Amino acid sequence: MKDEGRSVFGLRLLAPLVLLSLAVFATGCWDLREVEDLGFAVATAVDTVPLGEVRLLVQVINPRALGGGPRGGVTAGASIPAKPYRNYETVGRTVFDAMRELSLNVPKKLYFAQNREILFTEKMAQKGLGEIIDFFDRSVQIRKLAYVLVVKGKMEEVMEPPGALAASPALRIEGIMRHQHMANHYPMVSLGDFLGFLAAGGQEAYCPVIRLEKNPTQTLRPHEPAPLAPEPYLQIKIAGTALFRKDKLVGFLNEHETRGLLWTQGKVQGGHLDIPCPSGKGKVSLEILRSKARMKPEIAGDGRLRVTVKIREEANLVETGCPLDVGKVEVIKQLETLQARVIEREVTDAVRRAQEYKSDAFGFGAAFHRRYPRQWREMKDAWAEEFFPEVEVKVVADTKIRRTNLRTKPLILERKFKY
Amino acid sequence: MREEGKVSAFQVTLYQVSAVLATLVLFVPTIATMRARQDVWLSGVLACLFGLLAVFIAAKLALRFPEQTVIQYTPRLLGWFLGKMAGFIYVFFFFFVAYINQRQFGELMTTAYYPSTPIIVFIGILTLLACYLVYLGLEVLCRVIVLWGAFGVTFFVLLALVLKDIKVSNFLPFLEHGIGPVVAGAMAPGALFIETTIILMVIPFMSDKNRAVRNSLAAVFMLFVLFEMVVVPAVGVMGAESVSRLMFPYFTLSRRVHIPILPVLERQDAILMVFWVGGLLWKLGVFMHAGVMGLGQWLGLKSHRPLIFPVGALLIALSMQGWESVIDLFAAASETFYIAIFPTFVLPALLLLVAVLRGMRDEPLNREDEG
Repeated sequence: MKDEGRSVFGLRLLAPLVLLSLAVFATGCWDLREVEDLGFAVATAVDTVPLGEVRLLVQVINPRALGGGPRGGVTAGASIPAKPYRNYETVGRTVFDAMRELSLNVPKKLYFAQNREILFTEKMAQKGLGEIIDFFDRSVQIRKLAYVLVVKGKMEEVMEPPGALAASPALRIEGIMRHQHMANHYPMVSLGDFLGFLAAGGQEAYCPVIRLEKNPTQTLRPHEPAPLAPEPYLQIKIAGTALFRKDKLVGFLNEHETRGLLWTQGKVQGGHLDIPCPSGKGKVSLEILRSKARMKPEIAGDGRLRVTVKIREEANLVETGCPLDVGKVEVIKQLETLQARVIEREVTDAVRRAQEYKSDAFGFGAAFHRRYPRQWREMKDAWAEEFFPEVEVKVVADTKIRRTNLRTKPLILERKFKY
Repeated sequence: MREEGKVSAFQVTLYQVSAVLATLVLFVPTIATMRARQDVWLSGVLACLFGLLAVFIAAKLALRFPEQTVIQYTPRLLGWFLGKMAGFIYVFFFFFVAYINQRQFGELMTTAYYPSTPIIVFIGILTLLACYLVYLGLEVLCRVIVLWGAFGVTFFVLLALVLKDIKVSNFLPFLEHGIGPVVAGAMAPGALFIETTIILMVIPFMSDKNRAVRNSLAAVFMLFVLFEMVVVPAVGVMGAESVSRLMFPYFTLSRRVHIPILPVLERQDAILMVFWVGGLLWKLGVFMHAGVMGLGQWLGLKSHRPLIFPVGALLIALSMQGWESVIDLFAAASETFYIAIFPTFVLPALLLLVAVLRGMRDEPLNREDEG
C-alpha cells in the first residue's frame, strides 16, 4: 500500500504538468489553424461551363480593410481605401476540384464556416444541381444555415456590384435577407431547408432569386460637378422565387405569386397588403402581422384531388386613401372580407403558375402522403407530371384587422380635401 | 476489493447512464431512423421496454449475489468450465464495447474537427485518460460522472433552441409500413439500453443495494428520455429522409440551431462537444474498468491494477485494426445488437434461471445498509 501511495502522489504531480504542456503545445494537433492564416469565404457562387465543368466564384473577406481605424494598404496616389473583399474564380471538374484549384490563387487557407450564401446561376440551376449539391450537403465546414439563392444574370456582377460599399456584397445580401419579413416578396431558404426539399417526396425545392437592377436614384447632371459620392448605377435586388422540379430550375414566381406560395407555408410574418376601398376608388394599406396555414388534402369520390388551404392572418391598418370611417366595426368587417379575397387571389395565382411549371413547391404531394399513405404509393411516381397539375386548390382565408395605429377616421373624411 | 470504495445508488444510476449515453446519440439515431423512418420515436419506446426488462433481470440476478461480481459467481452457478467461459464472454464484451467506443470517438473527432490529424492521437489520449480513471478506481469514476451530470443540461438547452423548428408533419404518416420497421429500428437503441446491465459488475460496491432494481430501471428510463430528446428534434427539424443519411445526427442538429434575432446562439456544437467528449471518456472508463476488474477476478489476481496499461494498449490496437473505415465501423455499430444481446440479456436470464432452480443466494454482508 505504501508503494502505491507514492505512485499516486507522483501521478498527481505529473498529470497536470503533462496536461498543461499538451494544452499549450498540442492545440489543434495536426489541424492547427491560426486565424491570420485563414481566408474567410463569405459567399460561394457556382456556375456551369460547357463540357460539364464547374465554375466557382468565392468571395473572401479582407479583415484588415474591414476593421476600423487606419486602413491598411492604401493605393498609392489616391485615397481609395483597401478593398474589404476579393473575388476569386476557378474552373474545375467537380466542386472540390475547383475549390482546391483556388489554393493556387488565394494566399490564405480558405475557410468556409463563415460562408453566408451559396449562389447558383440560372444556367447551373437549369442544368440540375444534383451533381454538385452533394459537396455542400456533405461538407463539415459549410453551414447548413447559409442561404441559397439563384442568380439571374452573371454571378460575378452580383458578387461585385458597382459603388463603394461598407462591407462586402455577400454581407449586403445577408443584411437584406435578415429583414425578409418586411415584404415577404421572396422566400428565405437555407441550405438545410433546400436539401430537405430535394430529399422530400411530394415537395419540390424553391429558393429566392437575386439580380442586379438599375438604380434610379443615380442622377448625373451633365453640366454640374459630380456629387461627392455618386449613387451607384446598379443595385442588388432579391425578389421572386425560383421553382425547381427535382434538381432542375423550371421557372420563376414573381413577387405577388411568391407571397401566394409563402401564405400556404405559413411563412408570411409581415409585409404589406393593399386592398381596394369598398367605394371602389383609392386603396387601403394593411401591415401583415402574422399568419398561419393548414393544408387539408382530400381525395373526392370520383378520384379528383382537392386541397383546402386554410389561412389565418392578422393585420394592422396603416394607410387609408379614401373617405372610410375605420372607427366603425362594420367597416373593419368589410375590409377583412376584401383582405381575404386579396390573399386568396395571391395563393390561386401562385398555384396556377406552379402547376404550369409542374413544380409542387407547396408540398401538396407531401400532404397527400401524410393523409393518404396507401393511395400515395400509386401516385408518387407520376405526381409531378400527372397529378399535381390537376389538383384543385381551395383557399379559405380567415383574416383579422386588429389595430388602426393612432387614428380612427382618416383626415380625408374631414371633407377639407376634394375627393 | 475494498480499494474500489463505496458508491451510492444514485451514483450507480448515473454510472449506468454514462455507460450508454455517449454512443447512444452517435450513430444510433441514424441507424434507427434508416429502418423506422418517421416512427423512430416509437422505436425508442420499444427499445426502452426491452431495456427495462433486461436491466430488471440483471438487477435481480445481481441482488442474489450482492457481494460478488458476475465474473466471480458464474463458476459457482454453472460449474468451473462453463462458468469461466461465461466470465470470459463478459470480459470480452466489456472490452469490445470499450474499443468500439474508442474508435467511434476517434471517428467523430477526425470527421468533425480534425480531418488531418491521425486518429491514433485521439484514441491514445482518450485511452491514457481512461487508464488514469481506472487506476483511481470506481469511486472516483462515479464521483466525476456525477459532476459531469450537471452538464446534462446541454440536452435541454439544445432541445429548447431547436424546439420552434420542429415540424409535427415530419412524423406523419404514422406507421406507414406497419410495425415491422419500427421493431427493426428498435434494435440499435435496444442494443445500447441493455448495456445498463453493467450493474452486474458494480453491485458489490453499492452502499444501498436495496435500491438497485428501482435505480437501474430509472437509468434506462432516463436514457430513453435522452434518446427521444435527440431523435425527436432531429427528425422534427430535418426530416427522416435527411436524418437517415447523416453520419452524426446530433452533431449536425446542434449546428442547425437558428434564431434569426439572436445569431449569437447559432452553432452550439462546441458546447455539445464538451459534454459529448466527456461522455465518451466516461463510457470508455466504465467499460475498461469493468473489463480490467473482471479480467483480474477471472484470473484470480489480488489486484487488477497491473493489468490497466497492458489492457489499454491492447484496446488501442483492437480499435485500430477492428475496422477499416468509418463505413465499416458504422456497419458494425448497426449489428451490435446481435453481439450485445447474449451477454446482457440471454446470459443474465439464464444465470438467474439457474440460480433460482438451484436455490442459490448469498446474504449481504453489512446489515446496516438494509432497510
